[in-house]
Amino acid sequence: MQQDSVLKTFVVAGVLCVVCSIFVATAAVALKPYQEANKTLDKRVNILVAAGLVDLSAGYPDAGEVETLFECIRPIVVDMKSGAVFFDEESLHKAENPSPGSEIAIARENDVARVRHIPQYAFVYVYKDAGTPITTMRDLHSYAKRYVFPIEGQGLWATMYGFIALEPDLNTISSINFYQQGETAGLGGEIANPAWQRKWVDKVVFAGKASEPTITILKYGFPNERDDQVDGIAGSTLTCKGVQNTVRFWLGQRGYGPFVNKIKMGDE
Amino acid sequence: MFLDALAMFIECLTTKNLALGYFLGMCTFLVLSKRVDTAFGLGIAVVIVQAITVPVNYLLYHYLLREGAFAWTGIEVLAGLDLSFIALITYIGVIAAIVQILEMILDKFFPPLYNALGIFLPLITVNCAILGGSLFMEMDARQGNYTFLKSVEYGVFSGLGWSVAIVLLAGIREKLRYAHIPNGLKGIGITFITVGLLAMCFMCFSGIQLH
Amino acid sequence: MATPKFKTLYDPVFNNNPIMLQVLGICSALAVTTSMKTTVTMCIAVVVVLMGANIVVSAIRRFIPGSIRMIVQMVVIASLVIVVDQFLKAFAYQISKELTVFVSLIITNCIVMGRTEAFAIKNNVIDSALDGLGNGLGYSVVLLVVGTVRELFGMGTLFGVKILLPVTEAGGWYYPNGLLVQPAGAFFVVGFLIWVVRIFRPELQESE
Repeated sequence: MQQDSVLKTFVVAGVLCVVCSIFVATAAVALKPYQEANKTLDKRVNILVAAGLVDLSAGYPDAGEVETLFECIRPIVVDMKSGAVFFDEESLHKAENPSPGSEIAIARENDVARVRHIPQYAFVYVYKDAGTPITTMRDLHSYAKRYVFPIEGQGLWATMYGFIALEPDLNTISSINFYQQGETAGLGGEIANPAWQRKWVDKVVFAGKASEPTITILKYGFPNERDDQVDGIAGSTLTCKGVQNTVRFWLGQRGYGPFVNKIKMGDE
Repeated sequence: MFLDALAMFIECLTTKNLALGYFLGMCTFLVLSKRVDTAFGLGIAVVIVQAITVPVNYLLYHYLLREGAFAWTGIEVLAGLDLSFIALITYIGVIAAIVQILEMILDKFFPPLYNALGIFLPLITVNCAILGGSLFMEMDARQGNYTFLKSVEYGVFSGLGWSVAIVLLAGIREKLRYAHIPNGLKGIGITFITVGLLAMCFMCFSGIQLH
Repeated sequence: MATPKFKTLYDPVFNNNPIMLQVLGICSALAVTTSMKTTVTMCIAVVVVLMGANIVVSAIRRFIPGSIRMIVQMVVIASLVIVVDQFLKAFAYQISKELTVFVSLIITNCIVMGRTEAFAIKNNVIDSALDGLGNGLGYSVVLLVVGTVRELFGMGTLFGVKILLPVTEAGGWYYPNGLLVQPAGAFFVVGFLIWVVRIFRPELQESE
């Protein structure tokens, strides 16, 4: 078996490295477009589910279908500090690629959802009819059928990522969903169950004239008496607490609150 | 700052324990947990290697591998590069190299320590807990807002979590030798059940929130 | 009767199962057995890597210098793992999201390196391919059993399809056993699996 001179060892090592790197790099480069397409598709499907246009229990939609349905979605950019809305391409691009350090830090005592920081410019997805362009605040008032807000927050185990969709009154909930979460399957993991998510439909975020969200998830088994109360899940008090904090944070004054106020003011 | 570190410490020790929560490093975990002193030696070796490799891999990931990592060079062509697909092979190489270097340094400058830990070091190269630590670090770093300090903390704490688990298991197994165990369960079978019970206890720490 | 070739394939699946006998390579794979979808994907990934590594190492075995033998095997395995991971990300995106880092961890799976070192380096390509396939399947059998138990009784579903109606649904009657989907559940299932196997195969029992 003694067959190795130093030279041969180097040659074999070199050739192997070159062959392997070509092999790996080719695969990575060739597959990159598919991976990127998957990421975009996945994100779009999640938004469509939140807007109530896609039902995942009927199977994962194909790319063409998503493309058509996404005509009804208009992403807009919201300045989280002032609530100002931007419709132009440049702002969309800026929100997509935030400059480092532009995030708004959230002080620990206010950080109920435990997000630490939020982007300065955040996306809101507006559900409208295909073919109706939205380029001004006035369009937004006339054509928006639903507003889909991305939300995230700490659950019991991990960060939960999802969307909450509101009717144009920005108070009535039309749907909530979580597309990524690591809660206990069968207990907290039930937040991903459409059956539980349906319990949110037609609930309100703000009771009466309240300026901060009052929506509450009850402990399991407690009677649900008000329209800002949602039934809890058995054995998942901590996860439910996390969901409640997440929703309250994002729809409150430190989250999309300024934007919500702006739209509501316009209504009056 | 301190609270964040403490929260991570508790997480790495309990619910996100590499051995009991993610099944990492199981081969060595099961085979070398017969005696407390062996387990202890291996544990220390894991903490040391983990504390060095995770931060080193973080630096590599941050400045060379991630998408747009070359922005610091200021060269336009390089800025768009995304080398994250070779992260895995880089980490493996780094781990193997660091273990080798560590072995040589210990041999030369700390012979007593080398005699105690030496036999464990080569084992660690193929320990998935070490590679797993780096991969989890990358996963967190992808979410953004990750710092070098955090990677150091993660390295030390996740190593500690694994070590605590193996020492505890070894302690239990030493006592188990005096127990009457059904023939079919002897050895590896009862070890699995014991690890299961340990994992169950560790998971009871879920939901701790520091505020 | 069993030809030698057939035996190379058949042996590691039933008689000489690598996990059941030596508890090799059980490492990271248990983490993905909470659902059958991820389990099956993981099994396929392991079989592909194991077979691929065996074939490549066996094909170049005459050229590998002894001094860098291990590192050559490592590079071959690592390249295969990366390519498999990239493929999953491109064509099975949903599942690859759930598998997270565990596909990459195949690289440190003792079983892969174990087979290339013990078998592929000494045998011809066809035998090595069969050996890789056999060991991969043997490994898969154990994972599939664990995955079935955990998903069926832990969540009442198989491949995401509801089998046992959980009480959270209308008309449901099954209380999902949350412990099984926890990490602890996997350890218990493997422990009992080993017990059952060793009751029927007393020669495997350890005396300690």
